[in-house]
Amino acid sequence: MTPIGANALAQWPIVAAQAIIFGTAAFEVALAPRDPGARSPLLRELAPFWIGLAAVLIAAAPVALLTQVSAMAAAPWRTAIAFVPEVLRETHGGRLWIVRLIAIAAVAAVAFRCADHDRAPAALAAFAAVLILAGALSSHAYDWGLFMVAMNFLHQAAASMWAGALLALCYGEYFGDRDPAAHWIHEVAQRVSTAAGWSVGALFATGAILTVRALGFDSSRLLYSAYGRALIFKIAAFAAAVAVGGYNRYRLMPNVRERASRRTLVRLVAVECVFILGVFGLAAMLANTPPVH
Amino acid sequence: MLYRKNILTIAALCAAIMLAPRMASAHAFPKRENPAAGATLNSPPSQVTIDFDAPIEKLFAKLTVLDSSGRNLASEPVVGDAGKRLSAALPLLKPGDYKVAWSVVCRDSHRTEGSYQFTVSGSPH
Ligand SMILES: [Cu+2]
Repeated sequence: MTPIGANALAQWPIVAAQAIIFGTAAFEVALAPRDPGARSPLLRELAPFWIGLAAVLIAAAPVALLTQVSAMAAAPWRTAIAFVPEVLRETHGGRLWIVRLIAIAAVAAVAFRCADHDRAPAALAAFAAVLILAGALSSHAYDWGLFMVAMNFLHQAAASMWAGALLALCYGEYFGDRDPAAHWIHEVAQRVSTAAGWSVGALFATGAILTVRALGFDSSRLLYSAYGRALIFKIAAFAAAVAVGGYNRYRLMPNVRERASRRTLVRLVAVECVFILGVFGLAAMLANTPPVH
Repeated sequence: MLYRKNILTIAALCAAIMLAPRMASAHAFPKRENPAAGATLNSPPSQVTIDFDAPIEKLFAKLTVLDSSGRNLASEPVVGDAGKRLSAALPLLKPGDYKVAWSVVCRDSHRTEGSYQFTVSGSPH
């Protein structure tokens, strides 16, 4: 496998897990409906989910780090292990890996010890934001200046918010035993839809800015460069997710109180999530592909 | 009114991106080589210098100058000019073809590599 493919594959679970932790936790903090003074019902349902995602981060981090070092040194894994301390100490990307590893430990500590604590979502969102920021600071955007780092961060945060809100909805519907559920999902679906709408807008705007920076205004670069082609696939997967989301929002949401409509909605939200996971994979691919220059 | 303001903001943003002074590429590639790729030199160069379009990491920066028998003649390479210049000193080169091979890792941790040739002429007379 090429170093680009290996890096992308190794980073995919991290990109997805940190995004979903950030998105679900931020949704729970800022948007999930709750009765004043009562504990949020969603918190109890999301707690095991966060434990699973923290486990994914812990398992995937050493693999991604080693894959990256092996690509940097152009050496197989076994030789690359010896380079890890030097990379962590002496390179920009390595120092950011130290930040990442600490943030992952913090996420794990919160998730394993007290995921259903009232303040857990805020802490998880903050640590996941650190992970996303570390990614932005070690991306191509870093050489393009801090404005582009901010664009990259916002792009990732918006994608996380979108995925997180949708997954929170699925989770609440599958695992919640609320009475009456129809009322809960009606209220949540509306907030999810609003969050998703804003996220898609932000994704489009920041994505356009980042693309112009990477490819300029030359359409042949979009069609004939490796970066351009990977981007086309990413945009296609994004468009598919938006199309499903649009159908959900404008056709199914108005009838969400009906049982059949509600079930279809939740099922299609899950489909939307699968497309978004695909977008995350292609994003990891792009992050490792040289932009045209 | 608000709509117009938004359009103006977006237009200003686009202009700022287009006019951004340094078109750094991220993923470091050579901007200038000295001696230049394919060059024929009358007098032997005392060093090889490659200027990159993005800062590179000292760790993993490699530069070799191979003679026709594949022996590396360059000294240990040095990174300078805010991380954008890779250079290595050379002994007095005899006339012949030389192959410069480089590999670097830039700050986004991505590795790039390449090679080119130059010739020292000074045919015996
Ligand atoms: Cu790069």
